[in-house]
Amino acid sequence: MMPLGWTPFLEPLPGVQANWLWLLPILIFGIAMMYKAVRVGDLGRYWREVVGMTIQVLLAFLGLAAAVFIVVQGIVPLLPAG
Amino acid sequence: MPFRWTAFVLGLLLPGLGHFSVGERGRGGRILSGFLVLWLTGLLIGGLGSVRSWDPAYTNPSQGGKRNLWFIAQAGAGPIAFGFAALDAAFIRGSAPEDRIEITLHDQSTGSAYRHTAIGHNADFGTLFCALAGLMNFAVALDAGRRPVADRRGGER
Repeated sequence: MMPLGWTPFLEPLPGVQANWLWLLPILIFGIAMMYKAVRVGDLGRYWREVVGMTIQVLLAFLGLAAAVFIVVQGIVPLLPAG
Repeated sequence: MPFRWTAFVLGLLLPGLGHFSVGERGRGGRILSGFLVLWLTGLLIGGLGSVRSWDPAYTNPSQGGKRNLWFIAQAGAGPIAFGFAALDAAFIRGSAPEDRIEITLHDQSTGSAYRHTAIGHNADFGTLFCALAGLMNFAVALDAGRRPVADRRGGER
């Protein structure tokens, strides 16, 4: 049997350092699963609410990232030095 | 309505058990599923060292050791958190000398670490996932304590 080269749950997952941004949707999805399990009145709508919350939070992150990008790349260079 | 301490404590013992105990079985199962997504992903990313009660990443145990404040949040997962912290103490922090490597720490001091100890984003995200799972579980257990007992004649709750 070929060894995996990585022991899950004992050793850290390879490749995270360069691809950590992909962990964000999983993190938000997990939080949304727990939050919506408590908040939704009708559990029939549970998954729709979870997916909706995940997308909303991701869009909020994207908006914040865009705003910070504009400030740092567009506005800050226009400020007088010193 | 008085606070249901039994449901709260059961929710801390096992995620979702508090809601299960007041008849909200559907919610209990979903809470446990969400918890497992966060907890197991955290362990997958950072390894066993993601749940650590002592000697956080980037500290030198030979300098006396420190409490890991992230574990306060992770402890919201109850016995699961303490169990995994014990596993970390046994397999990662208590690893055999031949499994340890010499490392230079941020204060330029020399320390040693298990050769598979997570660093960088692995350590950060592994710890964060498990800490958020613990915090969410504490909030969910509080919710279980405030919920009225479900009418079990109805549909799924």
